[in-house]
Formats: sequence, C-alpha cells, structure tokens
Amino acid sequence: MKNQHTLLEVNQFLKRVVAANLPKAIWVTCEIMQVGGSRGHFYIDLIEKDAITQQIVAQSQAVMWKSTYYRLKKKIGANFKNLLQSGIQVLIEVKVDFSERYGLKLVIENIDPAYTLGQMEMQRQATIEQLKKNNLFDKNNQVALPIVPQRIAVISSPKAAGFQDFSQELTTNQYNYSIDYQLFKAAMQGQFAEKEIIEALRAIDKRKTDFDAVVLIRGGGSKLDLSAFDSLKLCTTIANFSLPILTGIGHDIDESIADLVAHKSLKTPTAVATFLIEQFLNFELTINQLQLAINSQTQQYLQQQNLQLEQIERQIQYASKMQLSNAHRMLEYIENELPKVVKNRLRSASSQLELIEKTVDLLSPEMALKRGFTITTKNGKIVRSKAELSESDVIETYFRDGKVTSKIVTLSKSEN
Amino acid sequence: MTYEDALQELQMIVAAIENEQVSIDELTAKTKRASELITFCKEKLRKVESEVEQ
Repeated sequence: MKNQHTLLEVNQFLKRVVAANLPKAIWVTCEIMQVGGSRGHFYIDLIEKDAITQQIVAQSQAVMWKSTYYRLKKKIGANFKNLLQSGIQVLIEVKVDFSERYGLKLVIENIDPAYTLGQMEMQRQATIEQLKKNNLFDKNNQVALPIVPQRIAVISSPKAAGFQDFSQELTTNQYNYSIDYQLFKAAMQGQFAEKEIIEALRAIDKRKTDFDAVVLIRGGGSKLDLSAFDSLKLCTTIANFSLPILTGIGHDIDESIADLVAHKSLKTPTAVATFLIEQFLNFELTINQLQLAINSQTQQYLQQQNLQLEQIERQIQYASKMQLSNAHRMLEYIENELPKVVKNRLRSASSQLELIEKTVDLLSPEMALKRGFTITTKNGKIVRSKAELSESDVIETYFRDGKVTSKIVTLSKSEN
Repeated sequence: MTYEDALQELQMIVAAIENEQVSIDELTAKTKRASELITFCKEKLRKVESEVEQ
C-alpha cells in the first residue's frame, strides 16, 4: 500500500508548515514582472533575475488587496502608482500565505519606496557608465544645431501642460518669428513612455530632412515619473540621433540621463521655446549689425572717393589756370618785345646794307676812275697784266673824262 | 539658400568692403546683393514654410 494523501491533506500540511515557519511578515527584494487588477485588488507576478545572465531564477505570485492599496497610496503619495509597474525593483513586506484552496501567495502589506529609488539610482549610474564607455555622451552635442532652427519635431503628450506652454510661448513671441513645429505623440511617463518615445524618434528619423531639431518636452514630475528618461535604450537612441535634440523635462531636482546625452537640456518646456526664439533673435541682431557695418563702410568709402575726386578736380583747375596764365604772359611778352626786336633787326640789317652799298661803291670801276686810276682794254677785254700785251698792240685806255686809243711802243722787262 | 549660406555671404561682403577690395562699380552690386540677402533672411524668419505634411 502506497503512502498516499489527499490533496487537501497535503495543502493543509503545507499551510501548517508555512504558518509555523513564517508566522510574521518578512521583507523581500524582487522585481515586478507583471501587474494585473481585478475588482480593485492587484495580482502581481514577482521574479528575481540572475544579475549576470538575466535569467529568472525565482518566481512567485503576490496579491495586494484593495484596502492595502488605498492605505499605501495614502501613505506614500503620488509616487505609489509608479512603484507597481513592470521592471521596477521593489522591497516589499509580505505575509507568506498558503491556502489549501489556492496554494502559495505572498500577501503584500507594505513597500519601501526608498529601496526602489536606491536601485534606480544604481541603475542610473550603471547606465551612465555604459554610455560613457560607448563614447555616446557627447555625440548628440556634436550634431550642429542650425543657426536658425525653424522646423521643429516635438515629442510630447498633447494634453500635457508642458506642450501647451511650449506652443503658447512659440506662437505668441514678441518678434513675430515664425517657427514651424509638428507634434509626434508619445506617452511621457509610465511603462510605455520608453517605447513610444523611441518610436517617435524613429518616425522623425525617417523624415530627418524635414526638420532642423527635435524637442523632447513634458511638465514637471518626480524621479519615478521620469524614470523612462534614464533608460539605457532611450538614451542610446538619443545619443545616436542624427538631429540635435533639445530636452525640456521639468524636474524637481536633478537631471535625467536623457538631459545629459541630449544636445542641450533646458529646465522647462517654456525655456526650450525661449531658447529657440533666442537663436532667431541672435541671428537677426547679427545681420542687423552686418547691415550697419556695410552701410557705414560704404559711406566712408564713398566719402573717401569723393574727397579724392574733389582733390583731382582742384588740381586740374589749378593746373589749367597756371597754364592759361603762363600762356597769357608769353603772349604779352611777345606783344611787347616783338616790335622792338624786329626794329633792331631791321636797323642792323639796314646798316649792314648801307655798309655793303658803300663798299660796293668804293670798289666800283667808276670810283677807281674817279680816284685817278685808268682801265686798259684790248679788243674790248680788260687787260690786267703786262703779259697779255705785245709790241704794236692797239689798246684803249679809259680815264675819268674819256677814252684814249694808243699803240704799244715798248714793253719793259722789269716790274716797274 | 540657407541661413548659414546667407550669413556667410554677408560676412564676405562686409570683409571685402572693409579691406577696400571692391571698386566703385562693384560696390553698387555688392550693397544691392547684401540688401537682398538681408531682406530675404528677415522675411524668412517670419514666414512659415510649411512643406511639412501633417
């Protein structure tokens, strides 16, 4: 005969064993795998994973009765609902209960939010290390923000106050700047935030040439509300993104990792809008300055050229005046002096002429005859030398008062 | 034309005029171009170019 028992007996036995060994509630660390609700009660699957392999090494079902839920919610406050989500590490006080009917169940009586926050902080540090190791910290910063970011892709929840503030600030800016933005909806908290934000980023990436920058905004919240923004997967996506990402995630205190890896993080959605407007303003001021510079430089330059031109004009005037007056003087001088010169020249020429006249006169044959000389001719030609004559030649001799005809008698041999 | 291109061209024009590398004839053309660029930018700052489909 086998040693057999009924199921009820086994369960009753187990119930006694459990009650005897774990009479009081105990504190247990674990991870929430799944949370389901029914009639106000919460049924939670708890797991523990191996730190290295991430394999599930332990699993159990837990329950939080409705009354407990409301008690804890009152005690802990708004954060409470964030604790009961998939993936959250918790420290819970449980009463281990074994019922014959339903088996083992951990009844949750209390929870320590500080533990969860502590775990989150550790996780956070680990994520930061990982991002630094992969050289992702500065990557989005290296992506240049266009000098005027006019086309913006906004990731936010349309109902969130953050988005309203942002769009209000943009559309009513005092300079009448025009910014074209498009909303890509995503949950900004809760367990779907990480997934939806990444999806929004992917959708934007497909149209990255349509946009100048991405803006990720939501209103304020506590650390737990914003836990999605510390996720490694989300932050890696942000770091690797092809457009610059600006974050405006309202914080109570410090920054999310998303803020650290984004191109620029600002305190609030309104601050992001203000920052964008400032870029426009800076650009406009710059081109205004350039316009002023161009105007003043051009004026200066033209003035200079004008002065030069005037100077040249004056030089020309002066030079031409000088030339004219020189010409005048020359003319005057000629006018005055020329007659004198001419007179002098005529006079001297006249004297010369007289002189020549006189000389010619003196040297003329008539004058020679008048002075007592004679001129001898033979056969009409003037005889200049004794050699031209022979004895018995007939010659004419002209005197002052007439002509004499003679015949040669003797030619003497000597000169006189 | 992008804002960056416009800005760069304007800066070049200013530099050219400051360094007196521009003749009087070119000056008119350059100041006119500068004026065009500045007007273009200022208008663009205030005008939505909605090529983006919702």
